Amino acid sequence: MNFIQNEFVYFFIIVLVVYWTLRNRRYQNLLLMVCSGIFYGWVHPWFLLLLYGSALTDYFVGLGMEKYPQRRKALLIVSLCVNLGMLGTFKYFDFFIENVIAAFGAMGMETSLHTLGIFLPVGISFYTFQTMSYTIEVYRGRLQPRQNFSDYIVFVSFFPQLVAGPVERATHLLPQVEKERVWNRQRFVSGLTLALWGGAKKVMVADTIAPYVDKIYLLDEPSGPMIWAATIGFSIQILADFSGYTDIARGTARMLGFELMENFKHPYLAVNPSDFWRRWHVSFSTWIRDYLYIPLGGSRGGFWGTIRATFGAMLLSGLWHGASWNFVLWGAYHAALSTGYRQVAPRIPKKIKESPVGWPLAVVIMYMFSVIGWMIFRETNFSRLIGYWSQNPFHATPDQWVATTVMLGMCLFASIPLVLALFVQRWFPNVRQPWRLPIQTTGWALCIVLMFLFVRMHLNDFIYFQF
Amino acid sequence: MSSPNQPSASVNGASILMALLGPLLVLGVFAFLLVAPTKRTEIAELQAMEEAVRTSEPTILFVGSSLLGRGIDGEMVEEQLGVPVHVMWRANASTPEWYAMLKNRVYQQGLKPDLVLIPSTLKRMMLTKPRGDRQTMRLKEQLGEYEPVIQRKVFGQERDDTTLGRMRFRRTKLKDQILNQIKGLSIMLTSASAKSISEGIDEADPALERVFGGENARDFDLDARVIPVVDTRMADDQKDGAKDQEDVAESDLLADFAALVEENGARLVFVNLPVTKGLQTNRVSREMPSRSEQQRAFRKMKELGLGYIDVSDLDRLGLKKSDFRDATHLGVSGQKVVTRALIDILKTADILRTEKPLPLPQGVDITETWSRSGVLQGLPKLKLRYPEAEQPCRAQAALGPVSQKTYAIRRSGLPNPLYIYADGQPITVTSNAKTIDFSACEGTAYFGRRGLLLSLPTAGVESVSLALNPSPEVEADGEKVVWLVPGTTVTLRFRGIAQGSKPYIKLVGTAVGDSQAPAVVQRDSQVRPMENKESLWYTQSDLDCRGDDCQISFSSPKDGPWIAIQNVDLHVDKTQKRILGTGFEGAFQTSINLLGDKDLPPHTSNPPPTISLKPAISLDKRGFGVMEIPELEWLSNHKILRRTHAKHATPLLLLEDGQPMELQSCRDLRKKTRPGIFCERDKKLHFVSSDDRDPTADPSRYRIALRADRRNRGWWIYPGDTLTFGRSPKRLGVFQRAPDSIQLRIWSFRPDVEKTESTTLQVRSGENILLDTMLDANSGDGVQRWTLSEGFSSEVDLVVTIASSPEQQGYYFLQSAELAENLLANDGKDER
Repeated sequence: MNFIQNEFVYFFIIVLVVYWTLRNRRYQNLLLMVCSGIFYGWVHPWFLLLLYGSALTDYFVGLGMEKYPQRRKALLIVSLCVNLGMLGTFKYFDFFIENVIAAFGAMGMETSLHTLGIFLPVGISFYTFQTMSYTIEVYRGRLQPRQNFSDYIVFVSFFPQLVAGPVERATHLLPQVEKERVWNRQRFVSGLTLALWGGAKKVMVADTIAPYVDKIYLLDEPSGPMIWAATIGFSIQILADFSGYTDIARGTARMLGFELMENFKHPYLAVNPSDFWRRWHVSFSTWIRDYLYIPLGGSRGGFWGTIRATFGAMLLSGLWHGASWNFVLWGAYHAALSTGYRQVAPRIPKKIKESPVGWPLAVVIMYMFSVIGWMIFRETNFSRLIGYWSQNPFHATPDQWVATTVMLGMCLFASIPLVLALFVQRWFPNVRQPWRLPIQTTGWALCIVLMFLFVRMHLNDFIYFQF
Repeated sequence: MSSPNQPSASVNGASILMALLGPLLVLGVFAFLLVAPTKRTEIAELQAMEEAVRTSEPTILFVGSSLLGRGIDGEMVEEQLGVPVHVMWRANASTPEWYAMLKNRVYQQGLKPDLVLIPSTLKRMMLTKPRGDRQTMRLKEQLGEYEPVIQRKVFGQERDDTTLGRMRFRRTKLKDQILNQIKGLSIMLTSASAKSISEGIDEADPALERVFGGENARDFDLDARVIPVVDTRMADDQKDGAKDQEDVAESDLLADFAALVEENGARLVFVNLPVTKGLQTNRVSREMPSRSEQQRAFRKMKELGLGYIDVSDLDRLGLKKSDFRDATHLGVSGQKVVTRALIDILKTADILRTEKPLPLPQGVDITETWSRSGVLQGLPKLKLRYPEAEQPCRAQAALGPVSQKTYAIRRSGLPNPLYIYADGQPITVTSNAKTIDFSACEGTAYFGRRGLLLSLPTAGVESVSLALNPSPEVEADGEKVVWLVPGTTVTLRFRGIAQGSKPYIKLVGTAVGDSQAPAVVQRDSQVRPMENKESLWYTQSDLDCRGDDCQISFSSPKDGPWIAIQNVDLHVDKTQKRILGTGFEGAFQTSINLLGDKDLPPHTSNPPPTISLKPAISLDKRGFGVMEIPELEWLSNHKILRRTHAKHATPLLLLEDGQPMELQSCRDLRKKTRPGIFCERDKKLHFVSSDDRDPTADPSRYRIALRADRRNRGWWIYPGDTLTFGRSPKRLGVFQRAPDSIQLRIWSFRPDVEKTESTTLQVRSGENILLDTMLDANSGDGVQRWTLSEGFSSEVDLVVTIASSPEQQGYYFLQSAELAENLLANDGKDER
């Protein structure tokens, strides 16, 4: 089920009413368990097998670790193998085979291997990482394995964040599942506000700009200015799309009495690569940091050790996004950016850093670097990518300049809500009653109106559904 | 706004009131904008559309979307058919919009074209609903006040003018307006020439059209072409597919189109236009219907008596990717090709004469069944022998007269038509006796040269019998054949062949054994023997049709051959459907090369024409002599010669003091430079003088001539030449009956001569003239084929003469000449 569908709205209203009518935590969890199953299995019920397969494995692995502490390591390996095996099969098998075939082909050899055309189950990367966090935390002794299966399964399959995150940690979400939820009007209102704002961002910003970006990326030979303008558009699209999803997820969860992790903290205001990853897809980047980067040695291993850990973590992080080499390249690019920044940062004069232009300059430079990264992320064809980079970014025919101008105009138009939101976010907490509630309800109405006005009938899936 | 978690003071009544009024105001204003009735505005585009169709008063009317606009050249149709033709199309028009256009823009004006053609893709023809809000909006622009068909089919029971419907309609309009304003504003702020937003829009639209090839205005096409970042739409696509199928089954507009057109006294034909190969093979393509959808649509068209013309076959039309403007729209060259093909079909069907049947969809929903009558005689009663007392399951049985046949069947690898039963239980036949485990009682048998070897399923089996497979179709190891066995008749029946078409089949089978008694074909109570060549039996025959049921039968006499029919093709009008096997291209064609006979070598007698051209000599950068000969470009190093892989087959010769220089490739001239050679390239002759001196200072005289020896990787024929070649009787005996065609690969080299009327081709067999015709100018692939008349004899020379008139300046290059006999074609000619 997609958040931007009438079905979801009806579904959620029913869930909400029944959920708060039940009042008893156990029944509420049972309801969430069933509803999460319906939500996830709405299109393909067999996807549930994978979800529950992964969840059951980790449930029993957790219990096993408690019962056989001496076999904790082996059990952890079982859990990792099952989850990563599932991920590998459904997400990377065809990619692997394609590359093997291509490698043989390059050597002039034929092979009888063929891809299986496996359909990627939505959200598999998210929930496998989430369940792995559970077993890793149990293994590390930071979390007690759960006996109550329904509580555990609600943690794994909690529908607001099931298909595109945030990637919740067991230590954060499980205790909330096990706690009584009490109705709180303010909390509910805030959740509704957040969800509607997320929807408006998705529909008004991401989906409005998407056709223009796609059009340019589909051209055989877009000129330099056009492709860079389209990539700027894509940077806005992906932010609005993904943060819109997260806001809907967090908003709906909040209405149900849960608080999910914050995933985006104005990433385009980042001043350096590390700062960017502290602001972009925070739940995932911290997962990578805690379970991959630090175990690989983090920044403690000296120059080369840090480089190894950075590249290891970022390459895998890139590959997590999709079975395609451009994502790997995107990860490598960010790893190189971080490594480069670490070398350059100490050499930046303090004067510049502390001057009034220091911060905006850093923001602009970092944004430019992130736009380059988005081009790698968006374009899956390497030769085209090299073509984009090798052409003059300021050379275009008059017609192409018109197209570039229109693209940039759309970017500005689509950015208006995002920029306005920055100010509203700073101003609104200081607003007191009696103005607070009317402003909020009027904001809801505006969001609904804008969504109705800008909604697309087709192609309105969230970008991160594919990961 | 996104994290308003601050505690607030208590909410008072005023606050609640404002909290209700605020959103109500926003929603109210928005709703008013979307719902308030507006004055009906005349749409200039539609007025122009009406005006255009009124002015042209068409006999033939084309209706459709941009696929039509880009796909059919109305002027060419008008010119070729000699009647007024009008092409009425609108970008992004959906199927119901075509209906509305026809009804409201044409028939409402009292115009009555005789023929209405709707060119599009089959998938789009079958759709009922507009594919997006923009299409819905444009449809609504086309609608009149009362539109029961559109109301029912497109909007379901929901009325068109419901509040929600109107809101959705206006919201799309509003969204378009906002985005248009942004577009215009962007240009206004950056362009010196645009002084207002509308001027900005006017400046942007044509530029975007040029950059995006017209895609900027069409949201649907964008949807179809966009490769979204997200690719998880499969489920939705599947749903769409299911919905599309429902559309076809329940509510397509075909019947409504038929009724509308019939009411107005016209005939309706759907034309299936091509899309690019990529889109044809795309799994989730919105342009390609599934087979079942196609069948349903075809069936319905037939029921309704609607015409259908398919011009979507890329291979048959020779359409390349470059003939397309984008994935669905044809470019200028593609439009010409498709229009020409359509005109041919319209002419052939004589479509403007109402008594002539309309071309109907073919091939897809034709079903075939095989049946057998008669009994195979002579199957022996098997007497078992148990040669090994210790192995009670091991048995042997003599097969009598069918022994050789069954052995031959096994040897040929054909699926066996005979079943073996042991006490009523079928026994598996194996192809390798060594794999049989006689001690295991495994129930297998092997057809050996001398009889049957058996590992019986149980010990002490009393009787083993042979029986013919009740179905003539037998399949084993993925190979399927139909068995025609002695004493039986096999009938092939077809259902669903369009009435009035001329169906025929081509059939090939392999005979087992050496029986020469002919198998026969039965049709319309006529009996005709099948042809055979060694062990192959074949026929080409019309079908016996009653309504849309057609059939044909084959019989083998009691002493006739066992024939495994392996390949059958059904031909209906110009389409072909493979019924059985993988085809039999070339299997029944015998051909010989006519240019390679030492007894009758090609020869000409005339001296070559002289060339009076005397170009100046200069030196190129490398010091080679150069003569520029643009006047002879058409003859020298022509692109045709490159296409024939005979790059250096130029007939030109460079004479130095009357002595011919040696022709080389220009590459060799540069790399293996030596005196006395020349090459030809880019309208120039490059050469090295025979004494390696500077040719500009060289006293030698250089002259261009035509080679006297016409043979140069083919044969040159100059004006006035008579080229004779042929075959002596030595190899003419390879033909079973007589060659039926001659094929030349020949090009004409004179761009200003379109029809070389006095260049003749004659084929003689002794005194009998098998062919006497004119040669066409040809610059395509060069292949021309002619059918030969009767009179061939393998006892005398076969002589081919090509005579080029001296007046016509016809230069030819002949690369190959082939004489061929197509047994199936001959057979068909006799029968049909």
